[in-house]
Amino acid sequence: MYKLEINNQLSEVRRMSSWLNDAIREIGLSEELQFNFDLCANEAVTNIISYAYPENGMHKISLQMNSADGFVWLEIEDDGIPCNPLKEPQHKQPASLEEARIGGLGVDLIRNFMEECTYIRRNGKNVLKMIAHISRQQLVN
Amino acid sequence: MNISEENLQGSITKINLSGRMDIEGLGQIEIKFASMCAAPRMAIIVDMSGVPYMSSIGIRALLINAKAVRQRGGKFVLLNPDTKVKKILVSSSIDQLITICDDLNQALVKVTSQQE
Repeated sequence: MYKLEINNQLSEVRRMSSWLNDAIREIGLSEELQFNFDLCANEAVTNIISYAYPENGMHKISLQMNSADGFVWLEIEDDGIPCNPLKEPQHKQPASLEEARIGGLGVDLIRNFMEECTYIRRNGKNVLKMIAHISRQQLVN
Repeated sequence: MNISEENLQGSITKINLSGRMDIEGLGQIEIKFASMCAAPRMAIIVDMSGVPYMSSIGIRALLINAKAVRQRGGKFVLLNPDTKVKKILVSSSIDQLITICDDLNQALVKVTSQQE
């Protein structure tokens, strides 16, 4: 079990990435899974920091990573406003560059790059869980 | 992140990006990136080969600058993104909006072509 707590500041995102990549290396995941988790965690945490605290203030975001029984998961918990990022509709393919929306691409990336993603509201907190099944080929150890 | 520019063939700007294109990395270069894409420049090649990672904030920066250049009638292409970064661009359908070139010659042709 790997745990981390960060503050709700964008300057913490890199520290989170660093912790995550260390944990993934120790678990022994493939480069592809490493990249996917790094990407999805970045998107999720950036969203939380950016939108979960309209009143601002100092808050903690907790992350836990674990692996067992052929799968690996990352759980991100925050005490921000109730918010399920997975409810955002998928972006429609824009017809042209001029029509392309600039924002909101992060959740689509999580959907595309993470095998399974769940959200629950638990004890007044948002809990986002990202899960990947790991085959023997995806373990480098 | 680091950013640098080269002038090719007199009127083409090749912008070289390197480093992690996340929120912190982009913060280090976004002002320079925008100014390197600004008028009167009309032919921009963004060399992505030195970028090992990109999140949606990076996609956003590419879209903003591409839109600005195209709005003036200019050309904006991406050159040689890393395989994993290219996967992100394709999954977000960015490759349908911004041309991605695998080599410099192809990029040079694209930014100097008269066609849309």
